[in-house]
Amino acid sequence: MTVSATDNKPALIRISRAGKFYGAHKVIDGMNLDIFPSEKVALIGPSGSGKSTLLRLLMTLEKLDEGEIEIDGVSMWTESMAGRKVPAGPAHLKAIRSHIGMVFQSFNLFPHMTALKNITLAPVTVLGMGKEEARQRAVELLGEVGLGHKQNAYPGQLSGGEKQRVAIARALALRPRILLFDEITSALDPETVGEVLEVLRRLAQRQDITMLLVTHQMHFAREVADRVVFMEHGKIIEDAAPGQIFGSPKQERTREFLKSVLQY
Amino acid sequence: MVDYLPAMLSGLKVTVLLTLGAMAVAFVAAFAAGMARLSRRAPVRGLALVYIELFRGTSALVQLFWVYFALPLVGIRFDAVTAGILVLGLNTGAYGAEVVRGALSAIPREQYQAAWALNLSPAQALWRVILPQAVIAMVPPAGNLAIELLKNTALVSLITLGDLTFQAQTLRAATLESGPVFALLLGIYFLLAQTMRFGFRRLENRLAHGQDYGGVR
Amino acid sequence: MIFDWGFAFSILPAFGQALVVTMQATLAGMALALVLGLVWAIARRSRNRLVAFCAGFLVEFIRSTPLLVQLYFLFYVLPLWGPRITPLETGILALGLHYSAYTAEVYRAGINGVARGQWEAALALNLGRAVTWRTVILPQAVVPILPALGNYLVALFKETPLLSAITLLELLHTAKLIGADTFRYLEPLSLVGALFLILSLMASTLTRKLEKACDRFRHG
Repeated sequence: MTVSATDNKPALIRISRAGKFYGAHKVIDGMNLDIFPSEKVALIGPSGSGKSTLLRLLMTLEKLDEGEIEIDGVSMWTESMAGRKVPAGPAHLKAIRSHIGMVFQSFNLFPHMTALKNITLAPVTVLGMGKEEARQRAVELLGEVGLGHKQNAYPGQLSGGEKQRVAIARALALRPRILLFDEITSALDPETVGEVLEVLRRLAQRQDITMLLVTHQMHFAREVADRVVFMEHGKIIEDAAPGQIFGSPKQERTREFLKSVLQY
Repeated sequence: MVDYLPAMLSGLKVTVLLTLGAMAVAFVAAFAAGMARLSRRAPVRGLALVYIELFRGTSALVQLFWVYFALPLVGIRFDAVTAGILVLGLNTGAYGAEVVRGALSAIPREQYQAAWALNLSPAQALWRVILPQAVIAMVPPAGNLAIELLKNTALVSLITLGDLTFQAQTLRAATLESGPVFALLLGIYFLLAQTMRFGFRRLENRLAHGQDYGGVR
Repeated sequence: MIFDWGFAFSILPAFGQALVVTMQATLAGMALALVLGLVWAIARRSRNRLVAFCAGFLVEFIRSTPLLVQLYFLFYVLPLWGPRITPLETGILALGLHYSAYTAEVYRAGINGVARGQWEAALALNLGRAVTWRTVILPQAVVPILPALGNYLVALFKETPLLSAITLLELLHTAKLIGADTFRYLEPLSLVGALFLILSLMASTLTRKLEKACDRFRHG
C-alpha cells in the first residue's frame, strides 16, 4: 500500500501546523501529517527529534501548544460549546482517547495486579463491560499474544518481552482504532525482542487498526510499515513508502541518518 | 484584643525563653548521645541507648509530671522553669541524637580514611573533616525538631508555668471569650514556627553553599 | 528505697479502665488521621490551585501549632457553635486532626514515589481520575509508607496524656488523681511512664518488623 492509494479516503489523524515547546525549545515545529485508516506508519529519526512527543501529543499525555490535531474530523484540543470554540474539557478528551491506545517503552504495567487484572481493569471501569465478559476477552487476548499460561502472573514474575506482550494485550482490550507504539522494544533484552516483534507483525495485518510506531528497528520498520516518516528537530524531513526511504531517499539528511544507524 | 496584649506578651517571653533554653540542652544532649551511640565502647553505647529509648519511649508530658511532681518526693526539686527546660531539652535531645548518629554514619568511609591518611588525630578528623560535612544533613531535621520543641513548650502550662498557653487559659477564664483568645494563640504559635522555619532554611542555605563531597558520587 | 512496691501493685488495677480509654483515643484518632491525611494529600495534588493551596496551608498550620492548644480550641470553642461532644470525642478529633497533617506528608511521599509511567498508563487506558487514584496509585503508594505510618501511630499514642488537660480519665489523669488522693505521686507517675515505655517499645519492634516485610515486598 502506498500513500497515493489512500489519498481519496478522509484522514483518520490530521495534524496541522502543530507546535510543542519546552520553554524556548521547539520539540514539534509546525508539523503537518495526515494518517489514513488502517495505515501502518513508522516514525524514525535521531533521538530528540520529537517522535515520542508526537505520540504523547496524540495520547493527550502532552498538551498541544499551537496548531491543530483532528481525530476522525474532530478537533482534539477544542470543542464547540454554544457555537463557540472553547478548550477541550475532560469529557471531550475522554471521548477522543477512547479511539486511541498506547504501548510504552517501559511497559508501565500495574505491578500490583496480575496480567489478567491489568487487562480487565479498563474494559470494566471505562467501557462498563461485565466482569465475566471482560475476563473471557482478556483470556483470549493473552492467548493471542502467546501468554495464555501467564494469566495469574504478576508483572514482577514476567520477562521484559512477556511484560510488553501483556501491555499490548492491555491496550487492545479497549478496542482502539489507533494504536501508538513508543519504542516498545528499546527496554528489552535482545533475546526477547523477537517475540514482541512477532506480535506486532500479526497486528500489522489487521485492517481495523491504524498503527503509529516509533522505532529504532529499521529492518522491522521496512517490513511492516506502509509508510515511513523521517523526523528531525521536530520537523518532517521525508515521508514516503519504505521502499523509497530505505532504497533511495530523496533527502540528504535521511541518507546520512540511515547510513549512521545501518552501519553495523 | 488589645487588652490581652500585656498578658500574652509576658507569656511569649516565657515561651521563647523555654524554647531557647531547651534548644541549648537538646543541642548538647543530641551530640553527646549521638556520638556516644557510635562509640567503640559498649557501655557508652548502652548508656546512650538507654537515654534515647527512655525519653523517646515515654510521653513528654509524663516526663514533665514525673520530674515536677514525683522527683521532689525523693528529694530532687526543680522549679518549674528548670524542670521545663530540662525535660523538653532532654526529650528533644533524644530525637536529635538519632539525627546526629544518622548524619555521622552517612559520611562515606573514604572521608575517614582520607583523614587517617593525612595523619589527623581522631578528634581532629571528627572536628575538621567529618562534622563540617555531617552538619549540613542535620540542619533540616533539626529544624523540624525545633518546631516540635516549640509546640511542646505548651505542655509547661500544665505545671502552672506562665507561658503563652497558660496566659491564654487565664484570659479565657477571665473573659470567657474562648474563640478569639485561642485563635490569637494559634496565630502566635504559627508565626513563631514560621520564623523558626525561615531561620533554619537560611542556615541550611548558608551551610550548603558550595559544598560537595570532593569525590565521585 | 522510697519507692513503695506494695502501694504500686495496689493501684495497678485502677489503670485498667484508663488504658482502655487511652487505646480508644489512640486507635480512633489514628483512624481519623489516616482518612483526613489522605484527603489533604489528594487535595494538595488537585488541579484547582486554590484547593491545592488551602490544603497545603492547612497542613502547615496544623503542624506548626501545639496539639494542646488545638485541643483547648476544640474543647472550649466547638460547643459554642453547637455540637455537644464528650471529652473523649474531642480528644479523638484533636489527635486525628493533628496527626492528619503528618500522615498527609507521608502519603505525599508515597504518592510521589509512584512512577510517572503509572499515571500515563492509566490515562492511556482512559481510566477516570477516581479510578486511577483508587486502583492504580494508592495501592502502590501505601505499602512502602506503612512503617512511617506505624511510627506516627506510636507518636500519637504517646501524646494521649495531653487529653488529661480536658478532663479525660486516661492514664496520666488517673495517676494524677491517685496522687492527689494519697499524696504519693512517685508510684502512679512511674507506673504510667513504665507502661508507655513498654507499649511503645513493643510497637517500635513491630514497626521495624513491618519495615523489613515492606522492603521484601518491594524488592522481591
